Amino acid sequence: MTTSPPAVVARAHEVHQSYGRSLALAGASVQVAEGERVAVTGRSGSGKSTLLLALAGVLRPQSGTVEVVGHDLDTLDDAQRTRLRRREIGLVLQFGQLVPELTALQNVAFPLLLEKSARDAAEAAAHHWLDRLGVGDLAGERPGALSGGEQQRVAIARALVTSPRLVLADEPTGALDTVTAEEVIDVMRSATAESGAALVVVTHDNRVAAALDREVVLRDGRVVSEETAR
Amino acid sequence: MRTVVPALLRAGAGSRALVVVAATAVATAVLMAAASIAMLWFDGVPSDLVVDAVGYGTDLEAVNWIVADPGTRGGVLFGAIVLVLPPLLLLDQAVRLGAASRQRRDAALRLAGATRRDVRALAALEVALPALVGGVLGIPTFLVLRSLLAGPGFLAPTSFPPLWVVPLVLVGVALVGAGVGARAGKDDPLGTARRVDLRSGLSWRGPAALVAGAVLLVTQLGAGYGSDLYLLLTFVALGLIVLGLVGSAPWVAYGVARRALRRASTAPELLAAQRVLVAPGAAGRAAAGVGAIGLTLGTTAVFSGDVMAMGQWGGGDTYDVGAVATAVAALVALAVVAGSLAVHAVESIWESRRETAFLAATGTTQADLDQALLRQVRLVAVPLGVTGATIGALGYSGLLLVGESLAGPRLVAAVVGILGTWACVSLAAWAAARLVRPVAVDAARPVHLRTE
Ligand SMILES: Nc1ncnc2c1ncn2[C@@H]1O[C@H](COP(=O)(O)OP(=O)(O)OP(=O)(O)O)[C@@H](O)[C@H]1O
Ligand SMILES: [Mg+2]
Repeated sequence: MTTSPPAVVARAHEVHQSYGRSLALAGASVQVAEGERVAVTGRSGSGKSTLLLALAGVLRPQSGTVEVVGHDLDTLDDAQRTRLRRREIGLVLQFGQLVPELTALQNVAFPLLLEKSARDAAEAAAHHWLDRLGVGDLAGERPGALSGGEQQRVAIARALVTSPRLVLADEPTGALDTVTAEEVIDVMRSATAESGAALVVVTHDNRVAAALDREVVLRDGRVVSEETAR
Repeated sequence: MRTVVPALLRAGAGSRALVVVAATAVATAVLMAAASIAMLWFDGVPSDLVVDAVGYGTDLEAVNWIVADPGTRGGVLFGAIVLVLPPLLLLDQAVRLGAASRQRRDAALRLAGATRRDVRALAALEVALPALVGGVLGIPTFLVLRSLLAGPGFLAPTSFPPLWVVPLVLVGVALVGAGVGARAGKDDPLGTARRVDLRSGLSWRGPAALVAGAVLLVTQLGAGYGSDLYLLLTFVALGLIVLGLVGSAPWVAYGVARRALRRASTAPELLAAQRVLVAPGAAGRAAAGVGAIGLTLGTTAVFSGDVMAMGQWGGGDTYDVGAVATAVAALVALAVVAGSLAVHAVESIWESRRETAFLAATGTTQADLDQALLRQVRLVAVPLGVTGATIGALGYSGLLLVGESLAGPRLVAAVVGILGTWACVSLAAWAAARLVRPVAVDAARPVHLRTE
């Protein structure tokens, strides 16, 4: 039986990034295929967040190339990269990413409004995702009134609402108890499975890593092992 | 610029003190000009205890018709005092700069054992000192202002308020500064509420003063025009209206933001409306000066319209000069307001730079962020300015011209005044948004995504 190998959604090649004397990434390379679910692990300061931001095109590394859905990010101008991020990438950071003035619902609807969706439709879609993440009853609250874990789930809903091809999440379960963490990872897995999106999760949690297809381990800004789970 | 402004803000105290100095300097200078105008009532008094109208004493000879005539001088004086409001409101705005980081510092001080009184005293001192410096700098600022105003004859080239007024103004300015500073530090930094109270900053005192002033003004409409009591009560009524308008600004902010939120269909509209709605007090205060300026512009417009109708425009006399000079003064005040709007915008942008950086990281373009900023600034300022101009134009017409119709040139002048105010305020809002754009661009940079 011959199946064509799945297309590559994101690829980082020999990426270097230093901040002054501290080297965050020292030639990290990683490749993520369509529909693949990858855990990125490593000690604190090993460069995980930096790698994620490079894959998102937020950070332009000093050297190396990053490709996302067939585009070499270096060849795109800022406006093009912005549009690419808006349409193809869902991003979840460690904390503090919700707009404090907007309600949970409006935060989730925001990316759709940027894409010129009608407000009703955008808010309906936002409601759907908040419900799936178990925070539907908090739709009218502002981030300041939510717990850390609740905020994180709203942020995940916002990352998923645009049905991106690539979901990048930095410690999405860091603020959650083990039961909720499992539920949230399940939602992320099933949501990306439905849409065929690839998922990259930075995590310290072995259980989260085990729930994904592959684990990429970083040390000192370099990928030291890539093992496929079971 | 891109790196300087945020650096100043990070230093926090520095830029705050700078704006406090500038605002108190301008306020002091305008107050001294008002005092000089007020002193004209006593010009020539020492010689024979008789206040003659035009042409008595050196100062009176040097000033123009409107200021020299005791009948219209009251109006000029009132206008001058109203124009003290924008710099005072800017001072108020400046005092709130960096509130969040100061609150963290104050909390640390409290945890280290400082009493609430210690913290309040520090807060008072932090404002009183630059306010005093600004007050002293106000004296040379007044001299510059005097040479500018002497051209159209609003002040005599040599006029100076009596020397005893100067220390009084300085002490007053420092006390106001200490009071405002202490108020800014009045909340105990230990323990903060999580839930946003949408109605915080809204007080009934503003609308109450507005209503009281309007009622008082209406009772004066039929009263004996020209008597001392009439003049005094009219002054009180106008004062209440001005303060009421300023105090109602947060309500205007709350109202327009609610409405804008319901109607928002794009991302920038939504963002702008919510940013105003969560802090109507701050947004309203930032724009409050616009109301006072609208009032001046509306009144001046109708006044000029009347003069033109009477055929005196450009006739070599001073009405036209007066109207133009008042309008120019209002425009300068508008620049101060633009500064005030900018200070408020910088504050709200910088406080939420991480979230802004995230919006940019997830695909919000700088154009969308810019648009949200401009909308946020305009949202409150434009309705406040237009309301002020309308009250000024209609109030002035009603006050001085009872029984006459509003038709003809006066109506044209009122409409021109209101539209002109709309245009000026739009321009000020645009300027404010431009001014803070470097900060807005900086806030969107990915460095702010970093964990703290
Ligand atoms: N903007 C920056 N300025 C200076 N140094 C930085 C910056 N961003 C990252 N670094 C440094 O680069 C290294 C890698 O940082 P990164 O945030 O990628 O680590 P991480 O693996 O995500 O760590 P953690 O598990 O603690 O989140 C660290 O030494 C960090 O101090
Ligand atoms: Mg990290």
